[in-house]
Amino acid sequence: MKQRQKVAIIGTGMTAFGDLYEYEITDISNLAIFEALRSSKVSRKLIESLYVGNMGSNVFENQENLGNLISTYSGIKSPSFKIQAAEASGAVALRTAYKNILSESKDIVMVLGVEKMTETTKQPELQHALATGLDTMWETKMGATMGALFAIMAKSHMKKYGTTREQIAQVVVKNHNNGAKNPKAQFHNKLTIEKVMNSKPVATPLNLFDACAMSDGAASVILAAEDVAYSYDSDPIFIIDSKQGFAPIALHQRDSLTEFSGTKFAAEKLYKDHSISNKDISFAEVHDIFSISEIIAIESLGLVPVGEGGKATEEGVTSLDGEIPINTSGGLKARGAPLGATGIAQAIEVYEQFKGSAEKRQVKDINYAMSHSMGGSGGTSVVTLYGRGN
Amino acid sequence: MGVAQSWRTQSSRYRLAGSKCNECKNYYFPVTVVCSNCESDNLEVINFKGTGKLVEWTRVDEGASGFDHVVPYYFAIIQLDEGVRLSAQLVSVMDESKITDGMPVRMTFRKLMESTREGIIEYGFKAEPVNPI
Ligand SMILES: [Zn+2]
Repeated sequence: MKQRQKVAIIGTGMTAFGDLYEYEITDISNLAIFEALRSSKVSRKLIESLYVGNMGSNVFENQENLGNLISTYSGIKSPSFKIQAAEASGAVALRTAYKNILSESKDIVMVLGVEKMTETTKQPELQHALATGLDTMWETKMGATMGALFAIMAKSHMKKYGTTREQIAQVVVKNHNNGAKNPKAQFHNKLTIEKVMNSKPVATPLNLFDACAMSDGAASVILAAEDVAYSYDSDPIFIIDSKQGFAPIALHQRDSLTEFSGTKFAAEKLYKDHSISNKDISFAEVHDIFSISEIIAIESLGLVPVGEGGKATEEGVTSLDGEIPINTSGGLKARGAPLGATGIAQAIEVYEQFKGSAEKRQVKDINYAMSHSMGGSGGTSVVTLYGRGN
Repeated sequence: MGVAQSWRTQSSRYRLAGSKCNECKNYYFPVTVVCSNCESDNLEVINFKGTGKLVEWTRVDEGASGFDHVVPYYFAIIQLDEGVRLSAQLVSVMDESKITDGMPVRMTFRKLMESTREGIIEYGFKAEPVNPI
């Protein structure tokens, strides 16, 4: 028997993202889980493992042992456990599940990304939760916030490449335009460059609307081995590969303030291993935890030339009707960023685009697609490549 | 931070204690038990001189947890003369417009946090311009 090469997504389920005050973390998990089961017609009993991507249940809900908790409330009694890699938790969970199927230890598994952030109502508590993904002793104690670190990257990028504040704000405007077309997005309002730049300052040059908002949400996919997938879907969408890249956890430990070296490593390996180039990527979901993050990400992913991320955004290259649409879902910014759920929400957006069910945000003539997720300020990167069967 | 962590990190926070690898000569901040470059455990504790230059900075208006009462403040990445980089607040700035890239700075001993979970008042280093601005 030839070794498995690919893994299919055969079911998806996702809550709307936003303030879901009326639901427990187990409720939103179940909404996503059972939608995925129904969409795939996979019976719960066939799920061989449940991987739960979550960043902050310990801080937000004082709850750990999340695998066991969610298994209990969903009745999925397979082995289950939480995977934590800060904001990349969902993407690392997806990659781990994918790898487990490739290694032939499993045939059908479920991945859930979930986060319930609105259990905390105070800004310092939120800052504390987000800061746990940084070097808490030598960055956070010294005054670092996610905003401060991305602000430093923004300033460096502006000086090195002439990126303008307006170009950075345009990322937000573009992602809100896309989010307005996504029924499950947290934000459907449109923004202007002026509104972004005049919102409350966070850390110069970034403002409140450059950042993601607090959000609740759950997203789930069911994965199946290539040989199993065709009995559920005659035209399966495949995860072709998923790579993880490393950079030091603290921004001050990195050689460059204007690239995500872990992202670059993972993307270059994907291109090389599959003999493809950036021209083969039809669209991508990237980690726009702050506006500037999208600009650096598309450069590090090789989707636009280094230093031209801002210019590409300004010129509409990354818009829905541009050469390489970025964050058609609205991204973390407008679709919403329930931390551990984002990596799975990205995979679902990719799946819907391939299936032609993305309605007003539909991209045409899709060849390959990419999703990109990061933990902390870019220490952990996961880049995943998707495509159809031959 | 907890009591043990506060005690353990004092030398690095108060005196900029770090490590020098006697095999590959790499410097580390803070003190470490193994060289992440060459895997050697032949390291000695050194105190960095505490002078360096400003690499990049930002004015933080929405502070970290425990810093919300001191906003706005300046957060910076500093490169010490020995080549090691670290994160620190930039203080003693009278005129923000006079902050320049590569500006010489020295590390200074200050109070970091008013109080934490364990009720400890935490001290440590911040950076200040060598030439008053
Ligand atoms: Zn060494």
